[in-house]
Amino acid sequence: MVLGRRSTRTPSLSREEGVREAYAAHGAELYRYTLRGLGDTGAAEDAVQEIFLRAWRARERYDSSTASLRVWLFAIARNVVSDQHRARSARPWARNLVDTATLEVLGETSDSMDELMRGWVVEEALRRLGEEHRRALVETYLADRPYAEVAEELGIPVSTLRSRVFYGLKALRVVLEEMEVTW
Amino acid sequence: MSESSSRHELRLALGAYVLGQLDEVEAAEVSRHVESCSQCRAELAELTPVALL
Repeated sequence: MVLGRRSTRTPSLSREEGVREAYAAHGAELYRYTLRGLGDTGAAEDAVQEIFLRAWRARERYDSSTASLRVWLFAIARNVVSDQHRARSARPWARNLVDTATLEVLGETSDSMDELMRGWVVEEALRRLGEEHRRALVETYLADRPYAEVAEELGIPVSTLRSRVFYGLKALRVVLEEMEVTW
Repeated sequence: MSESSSRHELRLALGAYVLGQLDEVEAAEVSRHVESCSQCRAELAELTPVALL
């Protein structure tokens, strides 16, 4: 996950680092709020991501003279939680789908937002992989651990771990295509 | 892997290869193989953008 460090400056979405700072300042309390509203940690995490994506997309409309950033984010949070409730009751199977508008945003972002978005997309894609593939990719690539060490921990030969990384990447490609990620 | 690495092993090593997880010797071996194997070239083209994300 690509989160920034807490900043002492007041977060503002107009700056390049703004979303990251806003996340550092308000991410935790927004998560508690969405968790209360949705009662499920996975759904609450998705909701927090959605809040920041919506905030970022609507950043031109944010006026700091009428509301603090926190108040504005909570207003968005209420909408996201109620949308998720509606989506769940209407389309239970669609609970985990990523908003395609969200992914279209990928093409028009600043570098830091790009990085943040990419982190979210990859995280979501990894969640959709099978456990063996996910674990192989997370341990060797994201955690950057040696194959021998990871293979021993999993009780499998290194060749099997290699095979899981290979097929895991292939599966990740399919998942990313399903999420309409383009490259 | 070694000189006796099978095509199958070399293909499975492509994941570690695109992620930059092979040592120099193995990476060179995979790289040589890919030049002469169209199937692996196609695999590599498919995996590379995923690894860059």
